[in-house]
Formats: sequence, C-alpha cells, structure tokens
Amino acid sequence: MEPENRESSSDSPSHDNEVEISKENTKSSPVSKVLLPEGKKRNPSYVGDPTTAVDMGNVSTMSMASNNVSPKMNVIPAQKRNIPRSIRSDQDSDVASEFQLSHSQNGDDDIVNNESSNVEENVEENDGDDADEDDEEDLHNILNDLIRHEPQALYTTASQSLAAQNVAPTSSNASTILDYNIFPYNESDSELSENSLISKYISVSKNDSNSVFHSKYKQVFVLSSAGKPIYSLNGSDGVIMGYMGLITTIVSTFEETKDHEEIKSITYDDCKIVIMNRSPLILVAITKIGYEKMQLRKAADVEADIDDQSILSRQLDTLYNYLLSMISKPMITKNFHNRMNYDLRKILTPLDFQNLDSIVMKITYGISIKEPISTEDTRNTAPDIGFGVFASELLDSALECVKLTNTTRTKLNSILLSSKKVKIPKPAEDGPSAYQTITDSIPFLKASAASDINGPTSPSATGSYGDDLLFAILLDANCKIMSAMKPKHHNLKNEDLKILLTLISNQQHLTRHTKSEEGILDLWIPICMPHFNCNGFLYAFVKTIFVKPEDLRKTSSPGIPTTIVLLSSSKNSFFHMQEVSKQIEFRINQKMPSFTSTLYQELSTTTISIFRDIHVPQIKHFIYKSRSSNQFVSSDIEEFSRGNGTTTMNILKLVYFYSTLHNTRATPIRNTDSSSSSGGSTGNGASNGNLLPAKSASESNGSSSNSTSTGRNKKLTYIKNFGRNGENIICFMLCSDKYEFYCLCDDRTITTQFLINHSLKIIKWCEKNRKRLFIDAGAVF
Amino acid sequence: MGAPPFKLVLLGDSSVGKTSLVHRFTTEEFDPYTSNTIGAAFITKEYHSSTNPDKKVKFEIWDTAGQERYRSLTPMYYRNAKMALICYDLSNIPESFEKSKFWIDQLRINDTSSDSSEIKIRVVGTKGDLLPNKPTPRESLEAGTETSTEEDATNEELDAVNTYCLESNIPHFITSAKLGQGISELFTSIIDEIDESFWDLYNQNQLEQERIAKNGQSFGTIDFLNARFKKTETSKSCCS
Repeated sequence: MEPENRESSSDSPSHDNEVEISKENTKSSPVSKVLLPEGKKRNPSYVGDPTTAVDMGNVSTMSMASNNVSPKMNVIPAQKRNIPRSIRSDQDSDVASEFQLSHSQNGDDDIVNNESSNVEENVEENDGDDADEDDEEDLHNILNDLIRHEPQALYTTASQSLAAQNVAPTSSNASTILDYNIFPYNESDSELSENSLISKYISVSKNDSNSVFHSKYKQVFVLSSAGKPIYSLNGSDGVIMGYMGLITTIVSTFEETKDHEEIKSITYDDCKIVIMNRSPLILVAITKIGYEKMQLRKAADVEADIDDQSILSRQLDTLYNYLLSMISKPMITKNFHNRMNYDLRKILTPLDFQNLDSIVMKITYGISIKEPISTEDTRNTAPDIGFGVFASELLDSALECVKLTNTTRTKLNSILLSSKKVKIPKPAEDGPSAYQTITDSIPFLKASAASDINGPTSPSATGSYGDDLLFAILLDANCKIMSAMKPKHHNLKNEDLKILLTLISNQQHLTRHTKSEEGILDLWIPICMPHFNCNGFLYAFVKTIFVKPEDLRKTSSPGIPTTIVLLSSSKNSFFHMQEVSKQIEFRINQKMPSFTSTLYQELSTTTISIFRDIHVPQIKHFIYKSRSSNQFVSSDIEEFSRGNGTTTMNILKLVYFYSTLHNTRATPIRNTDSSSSSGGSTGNGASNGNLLPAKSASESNGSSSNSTSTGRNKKLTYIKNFGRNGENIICFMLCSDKYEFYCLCDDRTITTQFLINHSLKIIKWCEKNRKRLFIDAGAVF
Repeated sequence: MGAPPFKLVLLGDSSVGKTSLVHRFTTEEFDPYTSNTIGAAFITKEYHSSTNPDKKVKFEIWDTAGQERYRSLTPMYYRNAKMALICYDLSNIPESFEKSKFWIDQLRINDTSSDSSEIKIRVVGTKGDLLPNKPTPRESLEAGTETSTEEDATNEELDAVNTYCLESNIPHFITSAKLGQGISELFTSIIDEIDESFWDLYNQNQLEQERIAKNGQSFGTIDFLNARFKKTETSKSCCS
C-alpha cells in the first residue's frame, strides 16, 4: 500500500515489482485506445496484454505468449461503445467451423506449474433431438483433444511431485485448508491446526494489534470521501486510521489529474486492491487470496461492453447495496450534503456492522466465522447458508431455490395469491376501536370464520388485506426460496433480494426462537430496495411459522420452520400484512391436512443428493445454474465432505475450486485476453504464484492444469488440481445457452468419457426436474 | 372467550435493552447476544394478574428500534397504544434517561390529538444487574424509595430520575432482564391498573361480533375503515 508504487504505473515495462494499475478514464473520450481493424488479422488485444491472441474471424491462430511477464498497465477506455462491432458480435459468429487455440505460458522459469492451455473450438451440432448423443461424442472428443494439447511435461512433473511427496510426506497427512495451496501461507504454518489457521488468517478481528490486522488475507473498508472510517472488516480505528488517509489521498490524486481519471485497482506484490468510488462513499477491498485476484468476464459484459469486473469490485457492489438497502441513497446524500465530514456511523447500528462482516465472510469464504466471543457462542460459528451466498455471488447473483414438486410449488403460489385477495370483512361497530377490533377478531384458526371471509362479502366497499402487498416470498429453513409472488409489472432484482435474504437469515434466531403460539414475534423491517426504487422504503413483514402436519401436532416436534416475507409499500399496513400472513399460515397448516403432510415430507429432504437422486457417485459435488431464470441448485455439501475433514474446511475448498473454475472458464471472444490473463493468474494464483516462491515449486504440493474449450453451443472447462496428499480433484464445467454446469470429481482415474457422460446425466436430470428445482415466474398478480 | 388485546409499546434509546426485556417477559429466557432490532418487532403474549387470574389480557407489544434512523416510524407504533414503556439504561443513566425525556415529551405532544384514550407511561430502568448494588426485586411504584447504601454517583442519578418521575406523575420501575427481576412485577402492575370496564367492553364487543358472524351481515358503518384504507392507498405512491 505504499503510495509511491502508484507512480510506477507508467508505460515503461521494466520494474521490479509487478504493478498493474487499471484505471478508467471518466471523461468520455470518443476514441478507444486501440482500434481493432475489421480485418481478420491477428491483433494485439486492445488492452495491450502481451500474452494474448485475439482472433476476429475464421482464421485460426496460435500464439505463444511471451516468456517475460512485463509489468503492465491496463488503461481501459471508458467508452466501450466505440469498440468495433466485430469484437462484440463474435460470439454469434455463424462461421461454420472455427478453430482457435491460444497457448499461453507465464514464464517465471517455472514451467511445471504454469501450464494453461485454452482451446476454443466451434463444433457444429445438430439442433434436432438426436443432438444429445452427438453432444456426448463431440464433447468427449473436444475434451480429449484439450487434454492432449496440454504439454506432457505437466503430467510427468505432477506425478513426480506426487511421487516425491509419497516418499517424503509433508508434516501431516490430514487434509487442511492449506491443501491445494488455496491460501498463501508460510512454511511455519503447516504446524498450525485448522482452527488456529482460520483464526489467524480468516476470522474477523477488530483487534487493536497491527500484526493481527496484517496477517488477515482480506481487508474491506468503507470510508467517506473526507476520509472518515465507516466500516472495516478487521482492525480497530487506531489500526486503520492511517490507511484511510492514504486511500483518500490516492483517490483524490487520480481525480485531480486533468482527465479526471478514476483509480480502479492496484496490483502490488501479493495484494490486489480494488477501489470503488461512490461519492460520498469510498469502498475498498484488499485481498491476498489467489482466487479472488482473478479477473472476471461475463458473457453479458462482453455483449454489453461493460468494463470487466474483478470479483472484488462485485463484492464491493454487494456491500454498497447493503448500505443503500438499510439507509437509502437519499439519506446518505442528504447527510453528507450538509457536512462533508459527517460520520455515517451515527445512523448505522452494531447490527449493520455485524451484517457487513457476515456478508463479507460469506462472499469471500462461503463461511461465517467470527472471532469466537465465547464457547457458548456457537450460533455464529455454524457454517449455515454461507456457501449458498457465496455461490450466488459467484454466479452473478443467481438465486437458490428449494427443491419441491411442481404440484406443491403451484399450490404454494396459489396460496400466496388467494391470501393476498382476502377481503376485509365489514366492521361490526363504528368507533375509535373498530379498526383494532376487526384485525384482532378474526380467529384464523376457525375454519368457519375463514370460509366466511371468502364467502359472500361484497367486494364493492371494502378492500383486501393484501392491497398494499407487492411481493410475497416463502422461505425454507435455510432461507432458500420456496415460492414467490410479484405484481405483473414489477420485478425484484436478485441483488436486492439477496440483501433481504441475508438480513432475514441473520435475524432468524429471533423469529424462530419461540415454540408456541404465545410470544410469536413478527418483524417489521423498513428496507430500501435500491434496484426497485432507490428513493423510498418498502416494509418487510417477516414471520416464521412451523409446518406441522396433524399427526405430529400432539408430539413435541416443533415442525419445520418456514418464513413468510411480505413486502408492502405502506408503512402503516403492518396489521394487514399480519392478517395476510395468518391466512397463509392457515392455508399451509390447517386447511388441507394432506397438503400439509406432503409439504412437511418434501421439506424434510430438500437437499439434492447425487448419490440418491442421480446415481453418479464419481461426481462429488455440482452446481447447476439455469440461465434463463438466473437460478441455481447445488448438491449436498455433506456428500462432498463426508469422511473428509470438517465442513468448514470443505467449504473453503469448494469455494476455491468453483472460483477457479468459474473465473477461468471459456467465454466468448473477448475472453482471449481474459482467459490468458486468468490462465496466467491461475498459473500464478492457484499453482505457484503468491502461494509459494517459484524456487520451491518442486516442493509445491498443489498444482493445477487448466484447459478451456469453447464450442458454439457448448463450452467446457477442465481443471485438474493436485492436492498435497495425492488426492486429486478434477473440476469440470460445461455450459450452453441454457445452463452453466460445474462439478467436482475426486476420482483420479475417471476417463474423459465418464466425466462427460456423468455430467450430461446430471444436466439431463436437472433439466428433467426443472420444475422441481426452479421457480418459473412464481405467482403473478 | 380469549383475552382482550392490550397494546403496549417500548421506547427508548438504542441498546438500552428493550428487546431483552420483552424476550424475558415472553420466553423467560435471556440471550446475551441479542442484536439490534431493525424497524420493529411485534410480539403477543397472554398474561394475567398474579393476584386475580380473571384479569387476563393479551399483550400486543411493539418492540421498537431505538436507533435514530427509525425514529420517523415510531409514531405508527405508539398510535393506538394504551401504554408506553420508556426504557433507560441503569448502567448509563444520564445519557439514556435524557433520551427517555425526549420520548415522554413526544408522547405528550402527540397524545393531545386523541380523545379519551391517552397513552399511559411507565419509566423502566433496565440492566438492574449492572447497578453497583443489586436492586431488590421490588417495585418502586409511585414513591420509588431507593436504599441509601448505593454508591453516591448512581444514587444521585437515580434520585434525579425518581424526582422527575414523581413530578411528572409517572411510575418508575427497575428491572433486570438478565436476572429476571422486576419484570413480572412490572406487567402485573400494568394489569392491576386496568379498569374492570375494559373487560366488560371487550366481552360486549365479542358478543356483538358473534351475532354478526351468525347473521352473515354487518350493520355497523364502514366509513371509518374506508377512510383508513383510502389513506393507505394514497400512500402507495412511493412504489410507482
């Protein structure tokens, strides 16, 4: 973080430290820096990355990357719109057969761990029904090709290193989070236990000590433009204060240049620093974690010509969204407008900081570990839904839904709809207390009363309880969505929903605490949905009910918790929402006993077991994302971690594997530079760079090979990870226009044919069960 | 027939222990890691006077967020409330009681609008376990006599609170959610103070309701409700 390194961001290629600064020219310059001719010539990529090849047309190219990784500065022009169409449209290129191969090799004289090859290939596929079988054959060929293209040396050396390892195994055979070199570490750390590693490097600590602060892998700051600290993941005010000044200095120095440039990221030594300026707030993330340093390029970005985002800047977006959700943009602006040195902490609560911590931990590591306050405090150490939050962040804010049969889900949808429409019965008596008496006097448990409500009441004069109800969501015990209802012309963005769900999951110990009808707690949470309406608040009614079929009612079993979330537009509509929730509860729990017990049974087993449901035991874990609905499902983590260490450690591994896989995946055209840079960073990040110095690479216990391939309809990516215990994990990704499929396999001997075959089997299962796994449109009114 | 609802609202500065107080009252438990309330929480609990089991009410409790940014919402919670518990932190009397005065004033200003049903107020000191000497679980209703063995500073501060309450004619209670002290006393005293006519009125209403349910028709006017819903409809505009 020394400021002088900022200076080295010139074009001069010789520096000792690799400094990479990308900045954005905020002035709308009409000319992009490097113009790509329409022709089919090989070009340097327009960002000036020496290690890439860009192919514009149907001429095949192969490029060997330079062996010298020079310090590079990516100046990305703000106006991407001016980039010739040929770049963007290439994805849809209808050239029948296109072959493109770029082989990049990062040259830290360490060939062993730095291999990565990218094959991009378009395969003509039949669009007919027999495509599936052809698919398998084709994909198999591609994958074989791909692996064959990899230098043989990789395997030899990898097996050598494995062999060497078998002779002289490292300190312990137990698998630890240091496996696969997920995180940078010192040699001395191999002595530490898993828990002490986690508390040394990962756990949140607001400690005063500088050394504790500096040992953390991840730092996140939120500060005001004036330099007042608002939030920090680690460290006390005393520790971080100096850095706040440094950050504002860096940011304003860039702002004061004549082009009003905006600094976006700094890569220095083993750190990547990403800065997001959302005046009057500045958000900063700093990471030492390899998988977080990778660049991220989504197909959608390429189409929309959005600047490529780093994972970190997306994380910062999420945090910024949280702040907007809680206090809304106008309030932030207003407060800072009055006084630049306003202290935003005044209107934040300790809970907000807790939530920010928890969000950062979940989107970084997939776990929610805090510095344990005491042994009693087990609530916070449970890994709970962390992995889901992480996966959602990784998969472009996709939502995770609960597996339910279509019948049940349809039924739940119709329950939401009909509960919204319940009419307010006419009042018995006029008077100041009438309103109150009415809302209280409908005993929802009495079927007669309920049928009366649905009965002959005239619709003319009175409204419905749900008149102010905009969105209704039913959540299962893990805060995954069971069913949802929305108005016809409005949508709730996943980004907003994610914040709401995080908030609710962090409050669940409150709502779920009570066991009986007595002391039931309903929450009424004002929340701004920044993508829905950034100027106003919605009001969330949150209540947890317990699904309990009749035969269980006499037992002490509490039933399965289900959370009702009702978003209303009016702050005064609490009692109406409460009434709607009572209707929902009545319909779920009382009205039809057979439905209640079906729901109970289905909710008892919502996890997707590869073993039980799909029967392909070689695949240990998978994620399937449906692109059209932007929803995903993942298989049971327990199956991945069974007999293989703690859940926490396995989640850390999953996070690593999926991040690497996702971030190195094959994406259309512009990815040629992304894949080589990410290939490079995979080489660097995952294999040796930052994790171990190059010299000790022969002792490195982790190495990976990585291949990606693109077909016109399907793209595949294959990575092999070598663990320090001779354990191998193969990461495989297959995606098409419809889906993204990621899986992990720990069977070293699995043939490519089996891998493809099994993957396709899972994909077919997911497609077949689409209605069970995903929510279509939900209920719409 | 069920117990009549009795609306209660908890007000007070952030982190004085409103949620813990309610939590202890409704579940008999204490959670040292209670987090801040966002917005508000609504809890119901049926409770009867320890002296007279027939005097039974269903407490409908609004546990509000003390944090300043939620302040604009609070009027909605104390509207229609019969009783407000204004909480302050016994381990930090000067600061938190200053905020309590703010709430007392607020209630008094807003209360003049509604007719007969004024909001009754109780001042409740929380975290009694953090007082220099543990309070005896004895209410100091009306006269709030405090023992003189306390440490001077706290003693003086408490005296100030007591004087203020006496002058404003507000009952003052000392509680500890952690130890479970003073809480049942507080709620029992609330019930004991409720007039018998409250139950009579409720029962009458219930009978009326039943009659209507039987006839399937209502006779009362609905203007009152209509007016209310029109109001909520217009306030929908923020989402358009």
